[in-house]
Amino acid sequence: MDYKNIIETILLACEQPISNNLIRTALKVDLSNSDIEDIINVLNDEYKKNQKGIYIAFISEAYQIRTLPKFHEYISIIQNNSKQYKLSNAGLEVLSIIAFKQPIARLDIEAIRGVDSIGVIKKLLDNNLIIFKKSKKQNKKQIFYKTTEFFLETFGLNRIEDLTTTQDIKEILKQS
Amino acid sequence: MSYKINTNDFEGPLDLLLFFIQRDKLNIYDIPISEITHKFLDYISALNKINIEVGAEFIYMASLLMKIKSKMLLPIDDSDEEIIDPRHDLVLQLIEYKKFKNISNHLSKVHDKYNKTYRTKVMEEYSDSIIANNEILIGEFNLYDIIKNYSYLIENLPDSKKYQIEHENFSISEQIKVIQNKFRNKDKITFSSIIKQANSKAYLVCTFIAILEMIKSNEIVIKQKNSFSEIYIINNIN
Repeated sequence: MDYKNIIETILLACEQPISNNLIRTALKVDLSNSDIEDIINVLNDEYKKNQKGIYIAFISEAYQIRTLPKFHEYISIIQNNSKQYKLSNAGLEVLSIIAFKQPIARLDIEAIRGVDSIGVIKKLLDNNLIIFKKSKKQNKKQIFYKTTEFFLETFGLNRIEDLTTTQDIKEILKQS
Repeated sequence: MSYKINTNDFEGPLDLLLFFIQRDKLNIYDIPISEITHKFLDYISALNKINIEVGAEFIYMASLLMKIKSKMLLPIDDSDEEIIDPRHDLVLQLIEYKKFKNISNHLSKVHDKYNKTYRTKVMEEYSDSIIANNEILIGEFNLYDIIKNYSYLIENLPDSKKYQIEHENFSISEQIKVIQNKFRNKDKITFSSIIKQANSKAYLVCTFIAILEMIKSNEIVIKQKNSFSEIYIINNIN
């Protein structure tokens, strides 16, 4: 059996990112995570070599076939992407503070921004980009914010570390 | 001096300060505090002139800047072992904020780039039928979802009970008349007799203020023998 073709067709047919476990369930074979990763790498190499317009993304610990960014303008003519929302500057600011400092309390977010941020936080909660957790420590009323898996999916990230350890971010941190 | 600045461009006072620092190429570690305070205040007064309400955080920053400015004018006492620059905390705050502003710019780029990639899509009728078959979806809920749903339910709850609130119509001038009426056939009444008639707090408060008013205009006099004993209200007219 050619696992490579099966995995490729699964990814093509399903809209949501497919985890290693789902691939194993579908194949009924106990492939290791790195076995699957190897197969995905082979597929991605083939796409690149043959100059295909697609790639397999690794998002939030799962795989998804996506189109390359450079073909965006053609697709957007056919699909009107009313669903894709644009985040406000304030939203991005709060989101990046939470992404880097999570779990973080509202007061600490506001201390960095110097501005009341409850409205922005509410919007991010509504958009499911962040969630809150009650702290387990003594101050019971303290609420801490964290980014969600949906945040990773929205930004095409696998883990939060993918954001915090990129070269660009390192440069930014070095400057300050 | 006039500034052409769009208020919507700034996320807060720190953002505005960073704008001045970048535009005028100031050294963030050695901010000319007098200059920047001046610019900041100019900006706020310009906003006030065109009737834009300035947020409390801007007022707070303005006062902070003036405090730092005045501290820097004070002669430095050399005997202090450690001399802390009055600007120290503000500089740290600005640097931290600048860091996250840069990160959010980066995040925005990541988002834009990823938004330009598309996933495969299942036909809509098909995905609808999946949801229709699972009337109760058990799965990913978090605390916020529950709170959101709960507040939605509470807001849309039908009114089960209706309460009628009676309008209380008492005024101080009316209560003065009530007290004056009591003096028609006697010159002395007790405070407790007035209180006993009170059937609401508004009545009580208005009556009490009415008594104070009448004392002020020398219409009545108050007498009491001991603490906590009966208070007498005596007619002072005639």
